[in-house]
Amino acid sequence: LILFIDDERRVMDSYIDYLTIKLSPEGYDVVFLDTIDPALDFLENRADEIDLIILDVMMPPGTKLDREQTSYGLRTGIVFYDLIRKKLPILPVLVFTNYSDEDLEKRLENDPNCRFYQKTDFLLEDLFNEVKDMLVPSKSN
Amino acid sequence: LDTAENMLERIIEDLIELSARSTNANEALKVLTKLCRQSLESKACTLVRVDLEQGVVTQVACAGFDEDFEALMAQHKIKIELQGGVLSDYNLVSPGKAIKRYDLSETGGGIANPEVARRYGLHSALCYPIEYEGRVIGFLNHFSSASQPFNASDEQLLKLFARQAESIIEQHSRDSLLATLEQTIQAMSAMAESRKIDRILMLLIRKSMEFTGAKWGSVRRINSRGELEVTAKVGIPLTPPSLRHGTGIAWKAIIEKAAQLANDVKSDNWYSEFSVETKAELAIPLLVDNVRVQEGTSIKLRSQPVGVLDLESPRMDAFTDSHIKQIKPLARQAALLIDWLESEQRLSRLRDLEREIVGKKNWRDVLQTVVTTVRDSLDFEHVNVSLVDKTHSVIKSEYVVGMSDPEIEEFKRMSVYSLDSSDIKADIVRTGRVEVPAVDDPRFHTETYERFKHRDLIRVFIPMKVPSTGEIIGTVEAGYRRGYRDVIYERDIQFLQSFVAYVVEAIEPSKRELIEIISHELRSSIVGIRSNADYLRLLWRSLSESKINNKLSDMLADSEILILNVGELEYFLGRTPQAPQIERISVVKDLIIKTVNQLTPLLKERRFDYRKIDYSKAASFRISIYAERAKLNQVVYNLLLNAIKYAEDDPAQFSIEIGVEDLSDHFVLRFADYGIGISEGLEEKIFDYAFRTAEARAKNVTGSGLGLTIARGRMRELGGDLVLSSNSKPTEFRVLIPKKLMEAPN
Repeated sequence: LILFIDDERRVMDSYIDYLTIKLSPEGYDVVFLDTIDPALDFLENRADEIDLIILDVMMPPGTKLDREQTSYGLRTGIVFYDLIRKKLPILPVLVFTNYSDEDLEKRLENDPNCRFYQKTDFLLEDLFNEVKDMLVPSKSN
Repeated sequence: LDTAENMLERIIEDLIELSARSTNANEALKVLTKLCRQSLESKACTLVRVDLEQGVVTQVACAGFDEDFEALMAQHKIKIELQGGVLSDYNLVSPGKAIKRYDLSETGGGIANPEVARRYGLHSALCYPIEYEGRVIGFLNHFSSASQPFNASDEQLLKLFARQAESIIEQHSRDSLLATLEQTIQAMSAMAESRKIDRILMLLIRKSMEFTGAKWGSVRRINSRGELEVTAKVGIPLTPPSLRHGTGIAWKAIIEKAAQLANDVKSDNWYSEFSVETKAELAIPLLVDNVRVQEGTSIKLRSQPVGVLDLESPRMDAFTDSHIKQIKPLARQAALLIDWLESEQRLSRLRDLEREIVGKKNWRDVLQTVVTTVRDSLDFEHVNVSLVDKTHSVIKSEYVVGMSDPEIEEFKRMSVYSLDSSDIKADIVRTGRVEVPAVDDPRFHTETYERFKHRDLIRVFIPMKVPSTGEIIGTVEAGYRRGYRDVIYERDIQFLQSFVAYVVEAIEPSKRELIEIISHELRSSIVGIRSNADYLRLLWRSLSESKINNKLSDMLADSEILILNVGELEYFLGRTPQAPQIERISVVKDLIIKTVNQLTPLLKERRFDYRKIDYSKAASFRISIYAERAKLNQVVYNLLLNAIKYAEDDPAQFSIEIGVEDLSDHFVLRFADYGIGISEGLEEKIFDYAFRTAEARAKNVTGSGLGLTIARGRMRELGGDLVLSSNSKPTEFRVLIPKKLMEAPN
């Protein structure tokens, strides 16, 4: 299962559609969540179903995360990433965002199971290839 | 009588000649003593100096039997005692009156060794005091072998010679004072020319040691730990340890802002021993007068020490008040120069850092640089930059130095204050004033104050004011321990203020953040358009017509958002959307309906029914105006976009009504929605540049906070206005369109 978390459903619609079309024959479901609260629930209750998470950074903090901690949503994805790592230390995570932050990029570089990409650098096929590439070691695990 | 007159005449002639010839005081006094002996037909005549500082009487000149006698007399140094000796006698007689001694061979009379007196047959002595500046500095002694009393003429003649000795001494003192003054001036100009603090300190120490005969000299300065640390030394092989606050004679000089003389260090409670050899110490503070310091919000003048000159001697009673007088001008000059040079150095370091800051793109790096710069360049120990949060509701510490890392984290957690609170920083944001609060200021938060020992600190609070808007975005707080300095110089505050102003200008966080947000929104629309185009390209053949239509509508919606964002950027740069082009516009058809159509994909995304946007009441008015379409588009688009973005999530609750009121000189377009609304008290704030409410942020992370600012600005440019007439349920904005816009322009 691919968990895709991004608050801009309309803008990401083609990515979601395309990934669904390409990944379902390979046995993967794509679950898209456009708010962080259900994403937190998913992580809490269905963590073992997740093969990969695609994660945006700037998203509303919802009702469960601390607004201050997420810098009023500017860093919601980062707070969520830390929660993922506590629960699933080696799960592939693809941070897919328009947010640019050198410090964050450097931090994520140290995580071999995390990749940080700018949305403007990826067309549909690029994202699909990247996801596929990241799924291989996970499957073998 | 005739002989006496002749003798007097001869004496006066001799004295005049002596005065004309004498270039060296000691030589002149020797000649004078000889003349005196001849004139009075003395057995011997001596001139002694009373050295109050050394506490002894020493011989300056002697005219007598032979060289052996002169040597023996010179060896005889009389320690001044309160009882016995000439001085105690002198205290008993009136000034200007001779002392007579008749028992020299028995006691020496306090002026000679009795044995020498016996050997040379000296029975009596007439001693005339030599005065200078109102005090006795010596005696002219006339020794006689006779035991009978001296007559009046002897006394008169001795007085004449004593007066002449005084005149020689006065002349000599003036010369020597001039010589000292010249040396002082030379040392002062050498200091001024050197422009190096180390060299100035060495010159001060060396010259002071020369003036006083001190064996060891040093300058101590207060370090950041509040201790007096040796920064320059002469004659001391090992660096003496730093002195804790309140210990040592040097600290006493700093605290009392006055020179401290300890001629017997062992008996001084303040003395802190470094070398057992030291018997006397002289500490002179290096004071800068009339320094402007800030207390509260006002400026006061104070004398401030920049260090202390410390001289030591292995001899007791080595230092005198006249040494202090001699060294003080040098110490003052050194203090002024050090103060000036250090302030120049600070300014130049700040200028360098300002240049460095320009090159930094990340404003977090800039602020981190600020705190370290304020600490390292302005000598503050504790620095705290607090920023007003994005919702303008709290101020919190963000960048701190002067504590351990865990303490900083704890401090930051504790230092979050509501802007409405009585906290000092919240108050500074409200008043915009620079303040150095007193130690017991009630605006300090008790818990933080106690936990982090802020009582020990003196701090200045400076508002971070954005020059272009006057907005206060935070505070810079800088201080040090009171032991280091108990005041904050106004000059340092000015440096700090100008540096902070520069930094705020350089980062303008709101501007930077706004650019970050707008560029994020631009990227978002581009990502939408590109991914949709890519989707169509890849899957065209397999897509239904309605799916293709949806994707194309999405692309159009993103294009409109792109135009809106570009409009925001242009507004930001102070430009109108495009070249002004006045055209006839139907408010409902060209603005409202068109915008609703453009926004359909956004409505669909949130599962809202576009038919819930009811403009039927407005349509019946058929208002047409002459204006720039782009400007009005921005107004309507922003209002409708906000109503959709900030609608409640439940599609059933979604509703927007657009109505019209016909007033005498305006049409009023009313936009009413049932979204999350606007909190009370923020009715005007929402039109502020880049302002976003906490609720708006929680619902949509991005958003520049420029939409309503731009919309109101555009309406006012057209002679109309935009106001909020109801906060919630419905939230209602009124667009005032002047009726004069209905007339076609010439």
